[in-house]
Amino acid sequence: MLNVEKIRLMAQLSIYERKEGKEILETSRHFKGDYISRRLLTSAIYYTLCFILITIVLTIINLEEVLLHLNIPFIMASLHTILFIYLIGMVIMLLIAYVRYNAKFDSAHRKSLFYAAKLDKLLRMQENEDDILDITEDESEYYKETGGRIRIYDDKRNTWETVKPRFHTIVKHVGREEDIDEKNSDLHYTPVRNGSYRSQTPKGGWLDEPSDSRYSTRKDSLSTSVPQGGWLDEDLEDDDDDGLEILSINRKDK
Amino acid sequence: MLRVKEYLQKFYTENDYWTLPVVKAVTAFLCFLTVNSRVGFSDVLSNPLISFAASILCSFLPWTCIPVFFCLFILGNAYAASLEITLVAVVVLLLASLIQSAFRAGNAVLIALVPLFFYIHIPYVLPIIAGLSLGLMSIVPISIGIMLYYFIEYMAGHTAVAAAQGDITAMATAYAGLFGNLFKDKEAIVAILAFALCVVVVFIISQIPFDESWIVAAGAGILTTATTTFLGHMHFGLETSFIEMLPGLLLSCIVSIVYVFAFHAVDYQRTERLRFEDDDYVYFVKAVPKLKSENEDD
Repeated sequence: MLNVEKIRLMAQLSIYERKEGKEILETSRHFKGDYISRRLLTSAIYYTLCFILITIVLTIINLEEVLLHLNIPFIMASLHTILFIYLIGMVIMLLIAYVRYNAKFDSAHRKSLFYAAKLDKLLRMQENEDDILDITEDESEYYKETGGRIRIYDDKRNTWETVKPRFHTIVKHVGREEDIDEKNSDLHYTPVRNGSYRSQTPKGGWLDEPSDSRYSTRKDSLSTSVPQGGWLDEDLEDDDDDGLEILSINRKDK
Repeated sequence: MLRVKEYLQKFYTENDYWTLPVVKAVTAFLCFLTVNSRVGFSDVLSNPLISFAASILCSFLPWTCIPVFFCLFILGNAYAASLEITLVAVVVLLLASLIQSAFRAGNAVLIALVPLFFYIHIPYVLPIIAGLSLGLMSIVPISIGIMLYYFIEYMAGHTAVAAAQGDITAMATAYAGLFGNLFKDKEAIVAILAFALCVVVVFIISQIPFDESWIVAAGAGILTTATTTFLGHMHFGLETSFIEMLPGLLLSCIVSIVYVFAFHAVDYQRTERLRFEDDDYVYFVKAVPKLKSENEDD
């Protein structure tokens, strides 16, 4: 079945990828230190090439003077000066490059977190159609952009219909007392939800059963109540029309 | 004003599939035309058809290709002029490309745009636009552009270089003269300094959040450029032609104000055509950017 929310999220992802993908990919392949040192190395090489070129040109300009003083002490002295200038320039260049690429990596890393949040939500939507995505407060910033209401254009009646998302994100306030199993994120999202357990609970409990009773009851209360503070990703804006126009959807040949 | 802005935005969003290539082609054509009109030594390259074909090529290639073609045009014309000039051109262009890639500065179009704007006498617009919307790193391509402008001027002035054949010392002296004249051009140094300062000032002021910060930034930028140029010329003892600069400055002022009105707080997003797939389907989606009307209160 086609899931409008999913299409919307996929479109968002696709746009994001087109705009920022290059940067994200480049930074996500390296650790921060590696990324910066690679960039520093390339800028050092370019700087050296530039310096050599400029030195040659300057020598040609002052060729007469050079030819006049063509003796060992003069050459040594000028080499010293050139080396000195080169090193100072190199230090300045590397400092600038370090500051710049440090900032660049941080911004790209942030972008990649937004991207990962969208991907994560999409993955979980594929796993189960109607669901709740629990996230911690730290992550909430990145998940904000992933949802919202969707408007669908009805061709026949010429009207817009607002579809509320079935897949929600809420911010979970993580207690410190939760054990490691709890925090291992995937376990929250794979419990069997139809409430039709017939078998007996094994000793020690289901591995994938939510330990908090809130989780198992949420499904029933979903249609009526809204959690405190509301869903994170609902009603971002009043007229939330993303302007998605679906040109065509083709079933894949298999 | 807001309505005009909104109209522009809407127009761009709906028609971007043909406006962008046309703008690219026109920009490229104008750039190539400036080279050919100033230093059109080569008969082949001076042919407007060649420029036209190159600009058509640029229309669907990325923006970066415009400066590349621009440099090729310069090189070709230099080759037609004389071998010495070609050598100088190669060195200058190599230096330019090295500097540009050393900083990974981006916005390489500016390299070709700076000479163009110098020839239509409103070069002071560019640092302002760059400072407002392109960031600090645009100092690098702007400086390279200024360098190329003075190089083109230099090429136009030094068509015939008499390099004595055979005698190495004489040849070396000739080359020393060639490079010396180019690299000791005080006017170019002053211009580079002024433009860089302007970019910095405009960038800093435009980042401070207060009302009309963009207009203030543009004004401050123009003032900075004018004073720096003036002081620089005084310092190096060049003839100051402030009266000649004045119309250019005024025009630049007007153009930058128009730019501020047209582009401030407007997001010219493009309509994206996307294709993505999941396990079962392939989706073709056109994503039209949302247009918020800002003047709902009016």
